[in-house]
Amino acid sequence: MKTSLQNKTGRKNKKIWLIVFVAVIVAGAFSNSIRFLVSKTVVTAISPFFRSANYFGGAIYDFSYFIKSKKSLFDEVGRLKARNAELEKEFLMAEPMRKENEELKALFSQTNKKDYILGSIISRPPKAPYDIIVVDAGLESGAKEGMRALAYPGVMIGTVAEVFPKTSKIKLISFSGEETNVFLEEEKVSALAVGLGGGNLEIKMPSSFKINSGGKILTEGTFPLLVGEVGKIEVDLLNPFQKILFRLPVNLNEIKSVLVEK
Amino acid sequence: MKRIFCDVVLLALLFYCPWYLAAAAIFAFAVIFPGYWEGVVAALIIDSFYSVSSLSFKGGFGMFTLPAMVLVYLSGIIRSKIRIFA
Repeated sequence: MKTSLQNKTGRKNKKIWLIVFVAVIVAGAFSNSIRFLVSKTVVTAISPFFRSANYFGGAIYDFSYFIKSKKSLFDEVGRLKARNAELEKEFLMAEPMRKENEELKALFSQTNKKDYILGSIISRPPKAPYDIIVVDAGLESGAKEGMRALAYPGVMIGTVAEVFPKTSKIKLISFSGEETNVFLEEEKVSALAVGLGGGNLEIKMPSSFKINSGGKILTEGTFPLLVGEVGKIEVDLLNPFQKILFRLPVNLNEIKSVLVEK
Repeated sequence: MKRIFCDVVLLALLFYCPWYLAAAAIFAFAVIFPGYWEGVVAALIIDSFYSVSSLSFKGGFGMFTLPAMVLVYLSGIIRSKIRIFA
């Protein structure tokens, strides 16, 4: 049985812990280094639970295939077969060009031998309130801040924003306010793409430029990466600039892992 | 018992559902239960996982954790001032 003195001491200890906790949070809201330290501790402690939750979520999703009707599965297989055939044709057409491109670059002593770090996605939007994904590749795997993150080789989705021992946060190029230098392949013009959040990006260009919808948008540099395709074009007669809206080239819910370019 | 069940629900929302459902649950449980500090911890998990250095005050711990703390504190004050007769 607890005495009233023990109860008083317990309450006092609880109060002290609460004050310390509140002080750390308030300090973390104003100081970035404290926020980083707290984040590092919380992410390191909680990420195994996120990973297990993903595993169980995946298992439940797989089980749902047993329950699905045969007809819907046949339909899906048919649709995927048609898509696969289409992509195979596209690949055959692109292959000679890719080889020619590599040969030309080799001629100018520019090789594109890249090493990647594979990171499984622990959390992604819409679980995340911002355009951020958390992957299980961190300092121990060789990830560093600023490295580019790719969904597939040649398809860029973001950059590494924060690195912890076993996890990293990847800030997507569509993160609100994030700026990326891009190149519009068809129009052969450089531009600045600004993230709008929710996987959307925007480019502002003078209305005098003729932009075609569906054109590829690449990163700048010798070895460009795909960042999207021109989607909606908003032209306002009262505004000298037109808005080019596009989305990330991949559906984030369809990828399980990302490649971090070394 | 009811509170533990709600904690489990909150954890499940945190791990499996979009952030706004977890945020709504934190708000609801902070109003229902007195001193719901579990909600503040859940908000801290959201902020720790998804905030990055480039974000402003609002995007750091100021987005979920601080508002959750204020909510728990205000809920305590309001709770002490009102009396409900069933």
